[in-house]
Amino acid sequence: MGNIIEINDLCVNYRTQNQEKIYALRNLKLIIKKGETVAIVGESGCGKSTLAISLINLLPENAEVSGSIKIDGKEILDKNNKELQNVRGEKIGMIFQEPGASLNPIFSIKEQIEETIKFHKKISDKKILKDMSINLLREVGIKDAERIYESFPHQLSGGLQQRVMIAIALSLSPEILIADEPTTSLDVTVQAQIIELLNKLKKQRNLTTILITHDLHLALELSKRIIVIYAGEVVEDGYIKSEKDAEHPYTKALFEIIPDVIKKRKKFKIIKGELPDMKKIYERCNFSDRCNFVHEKCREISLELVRADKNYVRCLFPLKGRKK
Amino acid sequence: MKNYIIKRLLLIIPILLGITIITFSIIHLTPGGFTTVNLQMDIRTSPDSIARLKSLYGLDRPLHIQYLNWLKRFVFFDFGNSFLDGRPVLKKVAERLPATLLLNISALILEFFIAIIIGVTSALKRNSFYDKSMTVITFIGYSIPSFWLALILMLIFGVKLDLLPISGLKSVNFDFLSSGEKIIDILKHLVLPVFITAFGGLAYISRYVKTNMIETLSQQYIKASYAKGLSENIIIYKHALKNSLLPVITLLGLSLPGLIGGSFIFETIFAWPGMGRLAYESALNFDYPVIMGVVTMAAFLTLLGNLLADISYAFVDPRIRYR
Repeated sequence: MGNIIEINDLCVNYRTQNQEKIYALRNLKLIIKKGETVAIVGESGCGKSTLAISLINLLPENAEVSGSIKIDGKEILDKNNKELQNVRGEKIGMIFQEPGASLNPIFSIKEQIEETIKFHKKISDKKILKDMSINLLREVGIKDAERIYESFPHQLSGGLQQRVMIAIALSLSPEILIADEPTTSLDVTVQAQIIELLNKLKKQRNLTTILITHDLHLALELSKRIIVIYAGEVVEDGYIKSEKDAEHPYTKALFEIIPDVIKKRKKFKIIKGELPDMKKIYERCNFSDRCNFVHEKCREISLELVRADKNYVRCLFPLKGRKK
Repeated sequence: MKNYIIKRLLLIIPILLGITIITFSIIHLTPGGFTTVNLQMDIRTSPDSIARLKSLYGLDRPLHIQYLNWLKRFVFFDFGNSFLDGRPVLKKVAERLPATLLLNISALILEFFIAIIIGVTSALKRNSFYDKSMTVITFIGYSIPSFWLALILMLIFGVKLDLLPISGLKSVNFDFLSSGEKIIDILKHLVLPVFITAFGGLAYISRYVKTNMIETLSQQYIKASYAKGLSENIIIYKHALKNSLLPVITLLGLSLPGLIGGSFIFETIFAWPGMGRLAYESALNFDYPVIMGVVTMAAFLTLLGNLLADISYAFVDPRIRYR
């Protein structure tokens, strides 16, 4: 299978109002194959969402981008909004966190699904549009699709709103679905339903799915390949099923902080410390200040992403595989 | 919705009562008074005839009785007759209303039309030279006193260049013109007053539209619309514009009373035969029935304007449903 997404040396900086730069993504390299499911995991502020919106070149005005993102071999970073119209929606469907905010409050669900189809496929027959929309709504597991079709966003629950967003994202049959924290604002049972739905859809439609989340647990539910991002860099990339597979200390730490109901751990575990200053680029391991396995050498040189045991890891002393 | 409208209409009654009581008291408390201004200045008037006039108009009764009498007639939409010329107030208002409506509706349409364009375009080109110069221009319009600007423009376009008429609604020879020329004549008379009225209001509305537009453009559903691959035109003019124009409805509702009330100073400068001048003239002469008529109608229309704004909200914004 071919590569559907190739990201090379992607750097994204945000200029702040006082002319400082925040280095959100730093020389990011990533290859995603067609039909693959990938979860991108990391804590807040590490660059996950920047990566997601970079993929459809929708970065805010104060962002500076360099490097390359190729979708199906075609560069997208040098395209303008008009040229991107047949990538966004048609090639890549995207859903965001807080589905309520992603739907325009003053247009009905009908209008918001149909405008996309109308614009891209130039269909204007009302009957066809309605059938297509109702089918989409059914496909995302909405039972009384007819009623939801006529509703306005504020009349729906968060779970339903996210299903509608998924229906809209899939309305042009894209090959790639990017879900940026799709369940963050939803309650746990609805979270599980949405993940189950994404699982079903990616199989049915053979979608290349990219899940972006801070919740490692959720990532494991959907995806075999886990990409862990820390401070704008990929720190681990590989097939991870459980804590045992983690080769980077940060990934291990992420596993440790998942609350465990059965073990009745009294206290939430945290990863001590915080992200390094994103306004600076350090010549050292960015995680070294918070790492339990830190070594003097970690603070002396910057690291490359290299294979340890099975996974690619950005660490001098990975937990498995390569020895000093 | 129906219940809501009925409830709001009923609420207008006590508010209107309050407004008329306050207006009535204020104009009667003002030093002077109808008889003072119109008769007592003349030494030939005998105290007896003043007393007779007072009793004729009921001005000798206690204030609350006078008010109740006025109210009794008002309930049947009878605003009484003018003290000055004895003609019915309603008729006097009906004579003056068209000129004011013509001026203010044209000005309002022009004002909102231009202000919305300026607001939207400056939001899209935020901090550009265009945006900044629009801010400066509209604020000049806002800060310049309209009577001053009116005089200057009358001097330039009316006197020096002799392009436009400087006062009134019609030319002296209006009756002798063909119907086509009549329209052109009225339009010519409208240019200066409409421009000056609209110019003053641009800053307020365009700023309002601009801030709303900027806020709307930063909403996540705009980002989501881009992610759907919609064209920029659809995103800006359908999704963003409609959302950012919602609050403008309030402004539109609030400007309704201005449509009817007219502006005292402005209409006087342009010798515009409108409501503002009617109110001004009757205030100078203590023509109580006319003042009360004009104020009550303006108050009623203000309240109605607010109600209309609230109702139209419910029509354009599905999130709002009144009970």
